[in-house]
Amino acid sequence: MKTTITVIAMALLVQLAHAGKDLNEFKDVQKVKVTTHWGDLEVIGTPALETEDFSLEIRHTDSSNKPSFIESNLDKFVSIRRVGGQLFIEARDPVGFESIDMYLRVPSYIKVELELLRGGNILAENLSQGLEINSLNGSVEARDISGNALITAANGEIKASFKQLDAEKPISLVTMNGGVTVSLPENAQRDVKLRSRKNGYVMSDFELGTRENITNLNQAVYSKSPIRNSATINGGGALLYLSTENGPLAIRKYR
Amino acid sequence: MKEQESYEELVEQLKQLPKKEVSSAVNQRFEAMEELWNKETHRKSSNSPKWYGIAASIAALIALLLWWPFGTSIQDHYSAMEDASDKMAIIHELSAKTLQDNDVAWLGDVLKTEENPNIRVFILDLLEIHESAETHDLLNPLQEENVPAVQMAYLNLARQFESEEIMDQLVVFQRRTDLDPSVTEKVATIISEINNN
Amino acid sequence: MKHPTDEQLFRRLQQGDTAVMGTLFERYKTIIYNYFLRMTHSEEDAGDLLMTVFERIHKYQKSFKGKGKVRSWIFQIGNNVLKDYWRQQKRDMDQVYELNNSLEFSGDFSEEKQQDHKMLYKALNYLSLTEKNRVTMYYLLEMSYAEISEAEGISINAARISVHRGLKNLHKLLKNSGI
Repeated sequence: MKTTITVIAMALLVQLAHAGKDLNEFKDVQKVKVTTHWGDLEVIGTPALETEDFSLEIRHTDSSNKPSFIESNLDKFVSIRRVGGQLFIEARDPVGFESIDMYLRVPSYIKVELELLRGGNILAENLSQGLEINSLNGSVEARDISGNALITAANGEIKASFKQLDAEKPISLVTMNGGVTVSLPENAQRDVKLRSRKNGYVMSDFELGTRENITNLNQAVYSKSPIRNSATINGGGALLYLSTENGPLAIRKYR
Repeated sequence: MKEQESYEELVEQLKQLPKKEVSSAVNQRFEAMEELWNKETHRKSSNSPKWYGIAASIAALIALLLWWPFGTSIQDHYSAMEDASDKMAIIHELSAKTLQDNDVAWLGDVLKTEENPNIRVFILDLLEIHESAETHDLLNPLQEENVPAVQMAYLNLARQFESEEIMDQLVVFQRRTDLDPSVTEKVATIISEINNN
Repeated sequence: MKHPTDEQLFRRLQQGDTAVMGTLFERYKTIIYNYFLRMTHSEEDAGDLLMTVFERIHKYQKSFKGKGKVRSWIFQIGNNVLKDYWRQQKRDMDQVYELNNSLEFSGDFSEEKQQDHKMLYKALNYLSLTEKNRVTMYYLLEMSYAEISEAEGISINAARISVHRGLKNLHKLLKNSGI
C-alpha cells in the first residue's frame, strides 16, 4: 500500500515538475511559426522584462489516450529550427492516434503564426505584434491582442479580442462552420465587411454606418438567407472582414 | 508585482537624471564655427556663375520626368509587400473601386501564388461581389487548394458561372478524398443545380 | 507663434540658410552634450564631441534625404561620433570600463536624491559600453527601438532586448548594491 502511494505521489510530482524547453536563446527572432497536427495549441505572450519568458511545454497523448508531459527529449516530438529571424516549431507527423498539445510562452513582441493541420483548439493571448492563424477543426480564441489578426478556420468558431489596434492593418476572421466574434476598442475605426451564408445574424455593440439593411441586426434570430453587408465603424478605416458559411457574426466593445 | 514596481521606479529615475548645461566656452566655440560657415557661404554665393541656377533647374526637371513615379499602381505596391497584413490592406484598397478587366486578371494571378488563405478568401469574395469575373479560368487553382475555407470561397464564386464549362472542374474536384464534408456537400449541390438547369 | 519643425528648418538649411545651424544647436546642444557626458564622464571630451556632431551636420547636410526624422539623423550622427571616440581610445564596446571621474551635479535636489543619482551613475558605469549606450539612447535621448536599431545596425528586437537587458542589469546592480 505504502509503495503504491509513494509511486503515485512521485508520478504526480513528475507531472507537476514538467520543465519544458527553454527557448530564451531565440529571443531575438522576429517571428515564430508553430505547426501541429492533432492537439491543442496555447500561446501566451509574456512581458519582455520577465526572465525566462520564452519556453515550450508539450503534453503528449498516445494512441491509448494516455496523456503525459514531456520533460526531456522534446526533439522526439517537435523540431525547433531557426532560419534567419524566424523560429519554426513543428510537431512530428502523427504516429497512430497520438496528439501533441503545445504550450508556448513567447515574448509578446514576437510575431506569431500558428498552423493546426488536423484538429485541436487554439488559444493565443496577449500578443502585440499581430497574429496569423490557420486552423482546421477546433475553436480559435485570440485574447487581448494588440495589432491585428488574420485567422482562418474550417470547423470551429473564432473569437478575437483586441485591446489595441494597428489602425492601418486589417483584421480578417474567416471560418466555415461556426460563429465569428470580434471585440474592438471603443474608438476603433473600421470598414466592415460581413458575410454569413446561412444561419446567421449580426450583433453589434457599435453603431454600424451603412445604407444597407442588415438582416436581423441585433436580434438573435437565425436568417435563412445569406448576409452580405458593408458598413463602417466610427467613420471607417482599415478592413474588418468577418466571414462564415454557417453561423452568426458579432462585433463587441472590448472590456 | 513588487518587482514590476521597482523596475518602474528605476525607469523614472533614469528619465529624471539631471542634465548639465553646456558651458559658455562650448557655446563660444560653436559661435566661432558658425562664423566660419557664414564666411564660406558668402564666398560661394558671390562666386557662382549665374548660368548655374538655370542648368540646375533643367537637370531637376529632367530628373523629375524620368524618375517621378507617375501612377504607381496598386499592383506594384502589392508586389513590394512581404507582410500578409499589408498585402491584404492593398486588396482592400482595390475593393473600393469597380474592378476593371485588368484588375480581375491580376487578382487571378495573385490567387495562383498568394500563400495567405485570408487574402485568397478576400480576393474570391471580391470577385464574387463584383460579378465581373467572366472567365472560369479563375477556378483553375481550386484543384490545388487545400484550405477548406478557401475551397468554399472558390465554390461560392463558381456558383456565379453555373455553366457546363465548370462542370468538369467540379467533378474532378469532387473526386478528391481529402475534402471536408461541408465542402463535399457544397460541390454536390452546385453540380446538382447545374444539372437541373 | 508656432515654432518651425526640425524638418522645416533643415529644408531651409539645405537651401543655404546657415543661420538654421544656430537654431538646431540651441535645440539639441543640452541633450547631446549630456549623452556624451554620461558616456565619457569628461566635460572636455563631451564638449569636443558635441562640436564634432555639429560639424558633421553642417558638412553632410545634403545627405539627409528627408527619409525619417531630422532628430533621428542627428542622434545617429551622435552615436557614430561616440563610436569613433571609443575606437580612438581603443575601447571594446562589449566590455565594462570603469570611468574615472564621477558625475556630479549641483542643483535643487535633496541629499537623498543626489545620493540616488550618484548610485545610478555608478551602476550605469558597470554596464558594457554597448548596453550603457543603448540604455542612454532610450532613456535620455528618448530614441525609439526602431531608431536605435537603425543607428546601431541591429534588428528592432535586438535593440529592445539590449535595452531591457541593460535595465535588468542595472536593477540587479542597484538591488545588490555592492557598489
